[in-house]
Amino acid sequence: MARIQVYRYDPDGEGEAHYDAWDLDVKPGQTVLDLLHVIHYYHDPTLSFRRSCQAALCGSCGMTLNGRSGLSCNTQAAPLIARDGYLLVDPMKNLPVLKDLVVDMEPFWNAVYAIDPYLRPGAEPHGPYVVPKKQMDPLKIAQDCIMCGSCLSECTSREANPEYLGPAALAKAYRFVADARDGAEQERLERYSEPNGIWDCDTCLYCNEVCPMHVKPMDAIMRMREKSIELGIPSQGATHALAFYETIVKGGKLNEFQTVNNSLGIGGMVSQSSIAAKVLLRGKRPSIRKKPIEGFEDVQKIMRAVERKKRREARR
Amino acid sequence: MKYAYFPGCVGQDSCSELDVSTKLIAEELGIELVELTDATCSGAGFVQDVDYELATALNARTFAMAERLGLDILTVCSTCQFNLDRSNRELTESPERLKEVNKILAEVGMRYNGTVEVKHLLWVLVNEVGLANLRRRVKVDLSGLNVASFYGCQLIRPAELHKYDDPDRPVYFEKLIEALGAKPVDYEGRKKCCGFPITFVNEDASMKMNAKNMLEAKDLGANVMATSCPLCHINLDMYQGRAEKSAGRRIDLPILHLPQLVGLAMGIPPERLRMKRHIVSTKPVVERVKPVEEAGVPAPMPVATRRPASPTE
Repeated sequence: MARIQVYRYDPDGEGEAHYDAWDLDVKPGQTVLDLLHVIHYYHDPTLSFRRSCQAALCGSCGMTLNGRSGLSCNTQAAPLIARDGYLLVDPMKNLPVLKDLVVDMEPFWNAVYAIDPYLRPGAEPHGPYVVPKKQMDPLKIAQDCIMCGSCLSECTSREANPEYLGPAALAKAYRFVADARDGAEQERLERYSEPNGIWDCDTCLYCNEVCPMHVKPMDAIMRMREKSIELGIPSQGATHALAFYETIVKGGKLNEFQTVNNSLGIGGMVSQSSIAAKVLLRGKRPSIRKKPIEGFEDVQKIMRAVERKKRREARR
Repeated sequence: MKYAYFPGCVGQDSCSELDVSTKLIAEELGIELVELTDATCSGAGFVQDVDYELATALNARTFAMAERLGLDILTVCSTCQFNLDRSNRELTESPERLKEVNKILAEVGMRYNGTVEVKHLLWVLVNEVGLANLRRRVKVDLSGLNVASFYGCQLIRPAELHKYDDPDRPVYFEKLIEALGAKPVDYEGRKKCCGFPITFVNEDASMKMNAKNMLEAKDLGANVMATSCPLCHINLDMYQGRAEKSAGRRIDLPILHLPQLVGLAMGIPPERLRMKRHIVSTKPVVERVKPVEEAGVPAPMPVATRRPASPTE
């Protein structure tokens, strides 16, 4: 017997959100979804939750299980109970709750629609469009997404900023950016570089960590950052990354002062002046000029070798 | 115990107290540090954004330097740890990539064979120095401190990269805090993002995250926070005033670096740990601790509940 606690909320009911508890016989191999079915069929038919395929394919049953977002159909109950001594089922985070474990997915879908999730064909070949495997491989980090919302549920940037597009929508965006058949790469990356897009990811890695399909939304976002810098698409995020990079290629190590200065410009530096004043007072000021690291000539040689390698590869 | 020490850029610049306190506790604990003075930045993700190939090549140079010394690398920054470890994994798991990068390193007469491990100070303290050993060395009673840990995202995620802590229930920091005789504060925010990676892109969002984590810790009784990442320290300490404005609430939470907390317990004077360099005053922390003799009781060691067993106990 184990106690399973489930989040309850009824918008039409009188009471506030609360947890209901049931003591159930938990068999080895049973999933959390199996237990929810037992409750629904034998104890309380008013318990609401979404599910369809029960095989980790449809993405309907995203929930928060002992604090971690994932699919209830492919998460076994016994190991969670053994680890934590309890089983707590909550709805997904960062989305409004409609009833019990059912969340409103509309904000999720709105973000997906906002990235223009359709192929915009480029130049069409005569005959079938054959994409070599090598060109399709990079899409692997994004194309298995089943749109369950687990990543958005854990996204720390989305938690602070509901306007942020979030990991699932941006992974979808990458799916088209990296697709050889799509002809709107530049236009797409310009759009995704606007505020609340790729540069608003705080790289907390929660999305990569919790995705039940092993999609890597953060990696997809990073690939788009790299590509947008390569194409020279302006944004505050790119300016900051370039300011950081510049100090490394000039001296091997970060120059914090120069990075902030070049990243924010004069107006931005003024906005930081109240912090700068405190920093100066505590003697915490970063050095304005820094000597290059010892052996910097080696670093320069490596930089040139990397450049040559890239040129060789581009010719191929 | 001997390590190739990778101090990181911020740890030697605006957060130089981190470097100073790391060296002090290493000496005290008998960890010999050979500093990689000519190592480049780990890339911190930003160099990777601009030139991924270069970031990997430069990190390979760092690994080759440590390999030449026959030592593993010790980091004191969650961001350095992640970026170095990720490059290392890429090279050690693919002989093809290693060969490619070695062609570049050959230009400067270097070569990496893939034998180096990258470890964060937190892991070394718990796994190698050992909690029992640390407990014996405590000279100052920290029982008046309720310490909220702050890991820094990239030290606990992704689980597939790190082989030590549990990303859902990290315990290393909490075990360490207990061993030092202080009380760990159990709060969700310790696993979350401090906001610093987007402070220069979306300061509003960054400060919301920053304030939320600190206020959660504070509301659960924390009177000090300790972090294993100097970049988190910048947001938590330097930007705490901005976070207060964002939340419309006073926070006033002193933020220590991991080795400062350890040093404090081992009786290293706070001035030597450079605790006066912080923006949020650390005076309330110093006032809450006293030498063990004075307190008259050895610090009790409560066992944490609801947590998986420690890896070393």
